[in-house]
Amino acid sequence: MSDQGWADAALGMDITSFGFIAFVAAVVVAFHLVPSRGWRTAVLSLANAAFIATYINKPQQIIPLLAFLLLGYLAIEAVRRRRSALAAAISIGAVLTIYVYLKRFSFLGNNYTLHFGYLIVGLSYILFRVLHLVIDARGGDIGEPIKPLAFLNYTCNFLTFVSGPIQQYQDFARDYPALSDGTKDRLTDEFVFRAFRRIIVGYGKVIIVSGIADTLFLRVSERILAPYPSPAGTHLVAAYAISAIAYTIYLYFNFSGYMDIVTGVGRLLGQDLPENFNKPFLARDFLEFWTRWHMTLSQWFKTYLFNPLMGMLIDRFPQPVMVPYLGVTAFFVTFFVMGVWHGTTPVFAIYGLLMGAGASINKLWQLMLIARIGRRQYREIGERQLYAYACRGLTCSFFAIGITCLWVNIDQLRRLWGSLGFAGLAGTALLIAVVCSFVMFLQDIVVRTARTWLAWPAIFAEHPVFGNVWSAAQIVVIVMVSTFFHKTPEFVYRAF
Amino acid sequence: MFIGPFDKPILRQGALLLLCLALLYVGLLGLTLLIAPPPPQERGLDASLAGNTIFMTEPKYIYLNRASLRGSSEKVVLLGASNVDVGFNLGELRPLLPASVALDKLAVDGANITEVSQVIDLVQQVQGEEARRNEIFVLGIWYGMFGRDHLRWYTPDRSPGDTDIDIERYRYGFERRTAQGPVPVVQWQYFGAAVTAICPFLFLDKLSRDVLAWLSHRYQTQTADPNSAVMSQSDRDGSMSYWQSTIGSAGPAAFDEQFAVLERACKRVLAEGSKLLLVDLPLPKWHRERSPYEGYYEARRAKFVKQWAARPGFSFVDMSDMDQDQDFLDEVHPRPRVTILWARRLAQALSPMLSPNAAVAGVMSRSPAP
Repeated sequence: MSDQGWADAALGMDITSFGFIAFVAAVVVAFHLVPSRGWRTAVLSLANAAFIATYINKPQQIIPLLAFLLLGYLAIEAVRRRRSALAAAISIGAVLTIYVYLKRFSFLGNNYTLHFGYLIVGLSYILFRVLHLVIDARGGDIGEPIKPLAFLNYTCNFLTFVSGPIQQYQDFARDYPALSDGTKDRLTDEFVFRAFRRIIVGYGKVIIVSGIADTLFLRVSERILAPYPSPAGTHLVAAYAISAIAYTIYLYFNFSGYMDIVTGVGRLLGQDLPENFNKPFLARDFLEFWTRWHMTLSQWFKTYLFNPLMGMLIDRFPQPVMVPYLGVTAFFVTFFVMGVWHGTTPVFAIYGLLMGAGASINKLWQLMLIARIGRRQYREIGERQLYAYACRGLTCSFFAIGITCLWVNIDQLRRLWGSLGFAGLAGTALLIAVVCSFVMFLQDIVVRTARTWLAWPAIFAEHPVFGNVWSAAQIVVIVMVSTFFHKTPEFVYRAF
Repeated sequence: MFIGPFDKPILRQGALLLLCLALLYVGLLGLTLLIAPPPPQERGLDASLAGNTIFMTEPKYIYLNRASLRGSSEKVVLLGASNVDVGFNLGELRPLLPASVALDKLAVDGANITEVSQVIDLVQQVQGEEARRNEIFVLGIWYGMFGRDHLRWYTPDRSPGDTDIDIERYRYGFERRTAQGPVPVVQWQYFGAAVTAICPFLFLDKLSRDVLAWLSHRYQTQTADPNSAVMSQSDRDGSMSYWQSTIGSAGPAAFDEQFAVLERACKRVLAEGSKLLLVDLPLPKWHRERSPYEGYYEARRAKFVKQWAARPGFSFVDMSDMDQDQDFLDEVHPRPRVTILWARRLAQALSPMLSPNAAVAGVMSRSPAP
């Protein structure tokens, strides 16, 4: 994992700890104690401050984050008042420069960094929120001045602080005045039951599925990453394929489970957080995959990088024949930047290149195929089952291989891919694609069958009493399985 | 407390869920106690039998099952790693000691000195002053137990630095992690009740491990007879590589860290009025000759023993002469047929440390034949 900047700081509140559950219970109870906007704003502000405080050992560790927030706030206000392109450019430049400095990107070396441990968890997501506000302020979408407390609660919301979802300020502001009575109409028994259910499902994903996948990943990847003799030939291909698949499962269930938890808690606190995942492994190509995976991040990059970049390129090259190829270029740049954003070390540049290559090759393939066989036939091929499963498998495979960069450093990557060679790497990708296609095919059959056979337990689970018994049983299983592991799985996206 | 009318669904749903959870767990607990009642408190603990109990593993067995160590009668507690486990058969050792002396074996597979020191702490935590004064710790050592913590306990599957004992402290929330080390959450007077309360967890763990063991047993070849199995050359090479990865580079300072831990543990044991018998365990001759560590270890161990030999309550026995290759089934563990010889040597060394009141078993007077 990439970040070292918070190594000196405290580990923070772990969402799988009883401490976090108790904290959330206390915040929810306190929030609903008095139905007044002032009280609820105060409760949320205190909750945010208390949550962030668990990430620091000394007061000085919070100073860089506060300075970054102050800079962001001043930049937004300056742009909102002037609405000039120059003010926006200077603000964005200043915010990005300070961000890169505080994140200690490796190309800066150690000479130009602050020489004490400080908090950088949450900084990446604060950056997205600040840039979005600066750009929207420039476009006139932020009319009223943002109050400092509202800004702090937006950027440092404890539910989204660590890793999103990236909520638009306009959506946050829509919920914010409704704090006093907005939850009144919604808080029915069914609404609360569903919120609890979402939280429990989230814990199940994080603790059980991602825990098992993490254990498998650690055991197998340890062998292929060890500096002493590791497996070779087909053993290495198999071990790498298992590690890559296990890490992908771990990452998905860990991250989407976390999102389920914060979304469920958000509902109890009157907040409608945006969804971040929509069954990404149903995607038939890499571009579709990113419309289903970490959706708020993709949407952010689409709005604030891809669209403006496309606009600029079309202005520069207005010929209609060029437009599709400008799209390829814009996809490459967008996905490259999105990849690089994930970390501060050289391996993330490779990750960015892979993501950029994946997106642009995907777009090129679409263009070429449509040019060759026509749009109608292209659509018809896409409907064929065999082709669809092959595409889903290949998409998974490319993603699984690409995110290797999230679990190795540059030396390990060089050694691993060097040992595999081109043939080994291609073999691994093919193996993952075949396994994923087959598993997805089986999964679809199982899901179809389960829908028929498990219809009555599903109705049973919705019953007000039996539904709670079912939820209680899930909690017991989750807690029991959690004791099987030597440690609870870390929330993986905290590192980005 | 003012609760607005619209807040009731949260309280109602929360209470309903908690009630269901409580009823479900009580039912599960009752069922578990019916199917697998907790074992009666035995006089002597033997961690090597952990697999047959609901605790399944040695660290869990020691951590959760140590209540019987509270008794203040004279006690011998065997500590160390797997070669203490395999080498000292309690069935053979018990008749060689006075009947009034309780015998416990709390060895942990793969332990280094840090973990052994934690076991000592766990034992002393449950004991009063009198029990500690009547206690003799027998600590079997060899160079493999002196692997540094950063190599032994910083593996990806655990929180950095956690030993297997630490994992058990935190696993069920009986202790919590702080910057100063583990802090008890469950006070000792409630410990027994807490262990009973987690029986469904232990039962499920045992059930899943038993199923996995059964499955793996089905697909494994028959294990060789430990009295006749021969270690191949490639097995020997593999074992040497393993110890090199566990201990790291050889050199005069390789064992400093763990000898410092040993020194602190010895100080604590003697300060509490307990006695300590340090046993240098034998290795097969081929292993000693091939190992790059053995020379450094022997020098460091000799220096240590020289420093401590004169301290009241400290004793040392050197068993390294029992090093015939044919007496070992692998690079560390003795064959079952020679464990009686180990037991005799230990009983002889323990004899002068036991209280004069303890009835001496006749066998003890016999000279142990190597």
